[in-house]
Amino acid sequence: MSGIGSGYDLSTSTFSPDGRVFQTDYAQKAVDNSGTVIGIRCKDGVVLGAEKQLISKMLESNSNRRTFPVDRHAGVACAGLAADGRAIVSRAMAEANNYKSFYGDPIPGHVLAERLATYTHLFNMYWSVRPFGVSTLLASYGKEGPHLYLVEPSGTMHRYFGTAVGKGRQGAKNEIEKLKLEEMSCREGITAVAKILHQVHDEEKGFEMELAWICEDSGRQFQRVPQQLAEEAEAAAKAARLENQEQALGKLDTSLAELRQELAAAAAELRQELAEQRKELRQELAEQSKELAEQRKELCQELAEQRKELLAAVAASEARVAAAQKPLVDLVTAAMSALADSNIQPLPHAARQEQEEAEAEACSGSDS
Amino acid sequence: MDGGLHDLQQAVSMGTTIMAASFDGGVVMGADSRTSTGSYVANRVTDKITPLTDSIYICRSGSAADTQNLSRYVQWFLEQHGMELGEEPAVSTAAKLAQEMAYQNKNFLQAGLIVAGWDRHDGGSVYAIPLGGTLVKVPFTIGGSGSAYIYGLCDKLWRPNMTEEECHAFVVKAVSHAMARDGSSGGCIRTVVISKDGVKRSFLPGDRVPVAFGELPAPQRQPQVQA
Repeated sequence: MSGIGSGYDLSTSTFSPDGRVFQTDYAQKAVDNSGTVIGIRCKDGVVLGAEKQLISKMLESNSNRRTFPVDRHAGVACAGLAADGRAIVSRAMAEANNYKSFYGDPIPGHVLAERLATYTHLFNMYWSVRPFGVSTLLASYGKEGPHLYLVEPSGTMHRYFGTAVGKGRQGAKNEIEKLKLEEMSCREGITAVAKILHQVHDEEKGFEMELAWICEDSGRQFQRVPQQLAEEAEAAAKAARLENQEQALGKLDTSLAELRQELAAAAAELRQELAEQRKELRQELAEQSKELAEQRKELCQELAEQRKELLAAVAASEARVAAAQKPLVDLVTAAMSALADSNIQPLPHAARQEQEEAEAEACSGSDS
Repeated sequence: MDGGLHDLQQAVSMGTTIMAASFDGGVVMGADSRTSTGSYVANRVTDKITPLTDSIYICRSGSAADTQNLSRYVQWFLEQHGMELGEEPAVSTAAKLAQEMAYQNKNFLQAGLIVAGWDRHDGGSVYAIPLGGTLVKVPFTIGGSGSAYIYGLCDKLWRPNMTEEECHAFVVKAVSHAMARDGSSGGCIRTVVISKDGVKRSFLPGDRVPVAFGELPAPQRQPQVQA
C-alpha cells in the first residue's frame, strides 16, 4: 500500500498524491462508456436525445427510459448507470416540488441544476458512499427562457448551448459545433439530434433512440417528442447516414481506381527496369565466362609445359643416380668376394652387443 | 377595574387602516400610524409599511408583535432566496412566503397583511393576505379595522391605469376617510410608492390629513409675526 502509489482509489475521502480523487474519475468513466446522450439549446427551446444500447432482443420498446420529466417546465436525460440516474431524477423531482410548495413558483433551471450539483457532490465526500455514475443533462424553460445544464458525477455544473456525453461524445460535440443553434428551431433540432446520434453510433448492433424537448411546440412543457415527429426525424437521420455512407463509398471507389492505375504504371516501369538490368547482367556474364575460358586455356597450356619440363628433370636425375651408384656396387661386390676368400666369421649378435657396452664403459669410467 | 390601567394590559394591537393599490407602472401603499393597547394609543407615529426587500414592502395589521416577527422571518427568507436566485426576489414569492407563515401558524397569530412591490417579471403587483392566510392577487386592497368604513368609497374611486399621482391621491383620500370614522385608526398618513424607478416614501402629518364631512378642521398654524 505505502510507497508504491496504490490504495488511493479505494475511497472518495482520499486524494492521490497528484491531487485526484480516483473514485470520482471512475464514476466519470462509467458515464464515458454509456450510450451517447446529447442536448442542444435552440432558439425556441431545448432538445435532448439519447442513444440506448439494446440490452436484449426481447426488450419491449420504450421500456428502458433515459429521459424523465422532473416538473412541467423541466426534465432530464441521464447517461451512465440507469439506476443511479433514477435516484437523481427522484431527487430532482423532490427539489422541484419542495421549491414550488415553499416559494409558490416553479423552480428556476439554474437553481435546480445547482441543487442537483450540490446533491451529486455530497457523494464525493464521504467514505461510506460512492459517487453517482451518471451525467445529467437538464433542460428547463422558465422566466429566464430555455436553458440547458450538465451536471457531472463530480458535482460540477455548467450551462451549455450544446453538449454531449457518453461513448460518442467527441464526434457529437464536433457535429454540434457545426450547427447554427441560434437560428434553429426545435423542430429542426430534433432532426439534427437524430442525425448526430445515428452518425456517432458505430456498432453493428442497432439502437433505440429517445428524444425529448421543451419548447413553444410543446407548450413550454417538458415532454417526449411526439412519436410521429420522432419517427420522421429518425427516418431522415437514417437516410442521411445512408447517403453519407454511399458518398464515402463512392470516394473510396474513385481513390481505389486511382491507386490501381498508379500501381499498374509503377509495375510496368519496374518490369522494364528489370528487363534492362537482366540484359546487362547477361552480357556481363557472357563476357566474364569468355574471359574465364581463355584464362583456363592459358593455364592448361602452362601446366602441360611445366609437366613436360619436370618429367625431363626427373629422368635426368635418375640417370645421374644410376651413374653414381655403379662404382659403389662394384666396390661392395669386390668386398664380398674378398670376405668370402678370407673366411672370417661375423660375431653373433649378443656377443657383439657386450663388446660394444664394455668399450663404452672403458671410455667413461676414468671420470669416477 | 381600577380605572385606567386595564387598557394597558391589553395586547398591543394595530387597529388600523392599511391599503395598497396598483397603478400604471407600480404600486402605492398607504397606512395610518396608530398603535393602541385597548383605548390607549401606544404609538401615534407607527410605521406599518415595512420593507421586505429593496422593492417589496408589507403593510401590517393585527398584533404588532406577530406581524413584526412574521415580517422579519420573511425578510430573512427573501434574503436567502435572493442569494440562491441571483436576482431580486419576485413580489409573488414574498407574498407566498408571508402567506405560508400566516397560514401555517394561523392559530397563534393575528395578522392581516398586504404585500406589494415591483419586480422585473410582473411589474407592480399587490397581494392581500387576510386573517386566515388566504393569498389573493388584486389590483387594490384595503385592510385593518378602518377598512370596513371605506369599501364603498374605494370601489367608487379606484380605476385601472391611474397615473402615479392619481393613485397616490386616491390612497390618501381613502385612508383619511377611514381614519375619520374608525376610532382605532388615526394619526398621520404614511405612503410608499414603488415603481421601476425605486421607492418613494412620504409622510402626511396629522394636522395636514384632509378632514372628512362633519369633522372639525385642525387649527392652522399661523405664521409667527414679530411684534
